Amino acid sequence: MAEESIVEENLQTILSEICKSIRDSDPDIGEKQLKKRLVANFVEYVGQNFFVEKNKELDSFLKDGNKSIKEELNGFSRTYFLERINKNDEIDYLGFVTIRIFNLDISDVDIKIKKKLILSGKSPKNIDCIPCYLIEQVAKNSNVEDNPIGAKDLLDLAMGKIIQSNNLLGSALVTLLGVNIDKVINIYSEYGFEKFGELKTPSGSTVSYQPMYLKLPTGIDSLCQ
Amino acid sequence: MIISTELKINTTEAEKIADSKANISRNELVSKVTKFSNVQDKSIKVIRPWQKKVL
Repeated sequence: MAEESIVEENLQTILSEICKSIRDSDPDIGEKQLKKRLVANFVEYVGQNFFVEKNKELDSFLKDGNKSIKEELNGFSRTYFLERINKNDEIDYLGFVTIRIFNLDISDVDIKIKKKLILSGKSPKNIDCIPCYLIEQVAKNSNVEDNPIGAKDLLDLAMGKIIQSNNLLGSALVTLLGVNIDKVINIYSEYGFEKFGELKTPSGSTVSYQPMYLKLPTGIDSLCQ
Repeated sequence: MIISTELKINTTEAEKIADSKANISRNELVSKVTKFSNVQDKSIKVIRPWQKKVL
């Protein structure tokens, strides 16, 4: 991949620019109408240009502007794009990742082991979850001919954002749910993720997901790397 | 992915996670922060689809 030609951008900036563009053309627009047009513009210019082959749930995330925009505006998650500036100075959307904070349920874990996972001084009896980062979505745009990015590039984008957050706030664990296909699981395994827990199949879905985790560098060893 | 279901771990998995070491170094991770430049930082002009026409 020619990295110099690939740039990143976050969904918030895209939404902000669309809002500004709408307001410039209609300064008196009300909030309700602004939101309606924001969704319509986003779906037309970003969502409809995106196609995630073999995964309807991922494919619908951007096409259903209400869902992606609601998640972003409510602060539930953050979505980042990889883009290519083409020869017409236009943007090709190559892929996206969505990351968020997630609570990993440790309510069934023995107290002795729980202690290892929580802050010293806190009572393990009163803590049933630990915060971690979740890479919620990793999607490549199949609509782009000769799309130069791969899953590793998208994971690098997600992990770059996570390590920035980790540097500011801490937390030691990254999780994801990988589509349970050998090829996909192998990509995550090669990146450093390890399997845990049972397969998850969301209701109404035919796709199974394998929970996986990656431990971030901690302890004195991490200081000497 | 888009899963609303909870992720729960048992004692064996929790112990494995607690005792495991990172499979990736901090230096490797830090290099990923700067792997891609932000389009906003590029000095070249980018034409956005919504700049051509707003619904």
